[in-house]
Amino acid sequence: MNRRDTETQRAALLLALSLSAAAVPASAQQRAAPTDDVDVEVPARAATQPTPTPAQAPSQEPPRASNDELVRALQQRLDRLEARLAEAERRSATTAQATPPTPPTTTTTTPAQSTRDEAPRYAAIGASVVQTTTARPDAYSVLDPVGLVLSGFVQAQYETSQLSQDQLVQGMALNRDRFVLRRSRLRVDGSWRWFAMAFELDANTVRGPVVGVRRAEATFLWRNSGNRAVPWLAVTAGVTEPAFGAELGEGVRRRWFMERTTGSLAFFGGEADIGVRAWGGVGALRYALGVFNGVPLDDRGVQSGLRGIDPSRHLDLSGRFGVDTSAASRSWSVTAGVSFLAGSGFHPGDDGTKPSVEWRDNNQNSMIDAGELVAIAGRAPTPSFTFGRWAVNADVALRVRTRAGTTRVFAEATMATNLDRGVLAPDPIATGYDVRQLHGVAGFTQEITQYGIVGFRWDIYNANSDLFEERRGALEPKNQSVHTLSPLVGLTWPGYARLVFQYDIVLDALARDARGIPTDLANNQATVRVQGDF
Amino acid sequence: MRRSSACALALVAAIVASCGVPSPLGLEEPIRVERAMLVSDLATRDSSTTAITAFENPSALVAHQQRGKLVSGRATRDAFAVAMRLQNRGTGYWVLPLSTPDPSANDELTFEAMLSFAGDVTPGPAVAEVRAVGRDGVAGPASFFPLCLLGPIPDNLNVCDPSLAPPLLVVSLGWDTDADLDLEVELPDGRRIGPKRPSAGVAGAIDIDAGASCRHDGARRENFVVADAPLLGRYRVYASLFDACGQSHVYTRATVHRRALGAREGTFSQAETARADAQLTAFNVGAGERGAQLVLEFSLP
Repeated sequence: MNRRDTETQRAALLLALSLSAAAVPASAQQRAAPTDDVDVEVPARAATQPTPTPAQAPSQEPPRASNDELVRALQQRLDRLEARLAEAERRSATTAQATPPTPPTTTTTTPAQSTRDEAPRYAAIGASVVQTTTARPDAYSVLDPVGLVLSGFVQAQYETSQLSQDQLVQGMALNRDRFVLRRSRLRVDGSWRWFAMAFELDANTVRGPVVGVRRAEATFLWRNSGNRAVPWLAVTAGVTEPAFGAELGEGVRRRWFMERTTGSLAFFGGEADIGVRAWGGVGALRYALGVFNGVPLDDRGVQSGLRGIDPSRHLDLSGRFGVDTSAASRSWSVTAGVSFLAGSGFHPGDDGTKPSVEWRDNNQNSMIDAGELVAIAGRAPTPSFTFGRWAVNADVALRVRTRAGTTRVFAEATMATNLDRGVLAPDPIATGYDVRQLHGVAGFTQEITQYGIVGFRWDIYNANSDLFEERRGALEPKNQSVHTLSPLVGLTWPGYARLVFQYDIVLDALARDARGIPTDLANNQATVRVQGDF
Repeated sequence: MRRSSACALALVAAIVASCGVPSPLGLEEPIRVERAMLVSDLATRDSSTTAITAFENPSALVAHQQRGKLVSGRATRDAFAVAMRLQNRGTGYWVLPLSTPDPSANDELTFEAMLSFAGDVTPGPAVAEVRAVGRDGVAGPASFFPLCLLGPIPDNLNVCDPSLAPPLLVVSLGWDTDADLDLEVELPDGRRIGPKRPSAGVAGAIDIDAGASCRHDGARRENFVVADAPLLGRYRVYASLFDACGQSHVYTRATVHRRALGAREGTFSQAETARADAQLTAFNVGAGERGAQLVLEFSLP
């Protein structure tokens, strides 16, 4: 029973008591005392019981008590009912505190869910019925031992970019004005008392038609005694999210912004990796610790020529420790945490080459002249090497629910070394020095009732904080920072569909002005996305 | 309040509209410069002291669709970049930052540029225009350097110097994709010139085996060249698809070019006298001479 229902019943109760006090004050005293039923609907039933009419009262009741006595008796009864109502609200709040914040979606309660509170805990475990729900399954879906749940969503969009050209470079099309099926997911979640599983397929057309596994995980659960509380311990293995930062685990279905920030995409080309993760919570404290291959699975498909992959046997260790106060209050919550990652990168060796001959047309007459044939000796194979990479991260988010809607303010920062695997993958073996990366993001979203959304996000990513370039014979610092300002506006039909427009203003130093000095490149982009859920 | 809102909206609109400098690839340009930026609205001031002081071009000849032509030079010490283009061609200047100073030349700033030329640029004489760009982003006076842009058909430099006589006969076969296509010419005496026998002595020879073994050299053209003494009679031109290299089909065009007299005495020109198109599919691969497709027939004289 939610808070609004409780308040409605409370008002009805007081109104009924007032009316009965005005109409038949004596009859209330003779009514049997209510049983010790915690169901808050009891007073409402009492208020709706047939009451004698004023005309009948004089012949059926003993002599009237004084008005003061009546008022006192009614006041006592009102106090008792108030106390019972407060107790019922307290118990209801205790249950609600264990519930994590849910997205602003309309939940279609299934029969199994509707009886969950009345039945003994886990009584329904083992009822492996396939059901669909608009409640988004996410990392907390294992909190409900509801059997199997089928869900999915589709994100289709039109995107346009100032970078778009009708040209090919290295076989890659530069046109970015197009319709794209960004994601279409089909997911099966299963959750029982001790175990849970999830399997999710994705199909998209970002880099051509691609179908792949986005999630395939099995989880052992040591559940918290509180209903729907975060488990004491959960161990998840398979294709799942690494434990690092807040943005990575935000969930593509729930996130309002189109994509993760540039820095997050550089560190993790995809949200999923293969490994094992232990996670859980005690009260407001949260923890997650995982070991992964260190090769995020990019759901957009394989990008040819991408460096930064790590086929070595060294694993990446990552973790996040933080707090989540969403269980303490439904009106506001704070989520914060610190994360770390330690792992290794890979410098590939090569297989060696055969001797060869090269022609260098020194005098550019398109003919082989003396001295223009150069012998190139064969090279021996070179070994591969690994190098270290690490990152630290801090994130904080504040969520406030008001009559206007839910406001969320968030910020996150990451400092890393050699972690870029998607934008400018460093190779300290080749360059001889470690490459530092810096990433930061801040923003807010404001829901307007439950049907609208506005938001703004700023993020910065510096792929190499120590880069220099030579200009006019002098080494000048080369700014690699990319700032992105992303306002968005959208409409939503909770639980069913979204329509979101986002404009990305990208500020960088990737172009050059007439003096040859780096300046901002015209590479803003806009996206209109339609999302359908089931 | 209304005014502040309007100002805020105007500011946002200005940021969105003026954000950034476009960076076109410039693949449509007649010339491209590696690591340089195409600037379409470069301001120039011929009275500026910022100037090019030296320009080195190993050869004025530019092969058809040549890539990686290296030129170098120096600019005055107050210059920031060098801008270059083909005079009166293209849509802008390629701007390249200047590099290290040259101690042997009063510390003038040096540059090296790798030039690439488009395949559809009109063959003939051309002029490279080079300017130095100063601190204020304005380019100084232009320096001009002559070039000779050669075409795809061998002409003995006739396109740049009409007094030079082009070959008497050129049979050219060009195609549209990276496939190993071979030109075969049946001479009037019955000999068949092709990749296995590319030369008939003074009766002509095929210049290269383009795309051999599916090596993507970008040439996509083979020429049968007769310099001075062609055999008289009937010629047959075949296209033989040795390897489709993964392509489903190839469009090809055969042309015949013959020497002609120029408009002025003592000059020559090269005229196209015949052409024919054909399409070969991957099914034509591997049939050898029997599978070669006849594209064109012509007779001399």
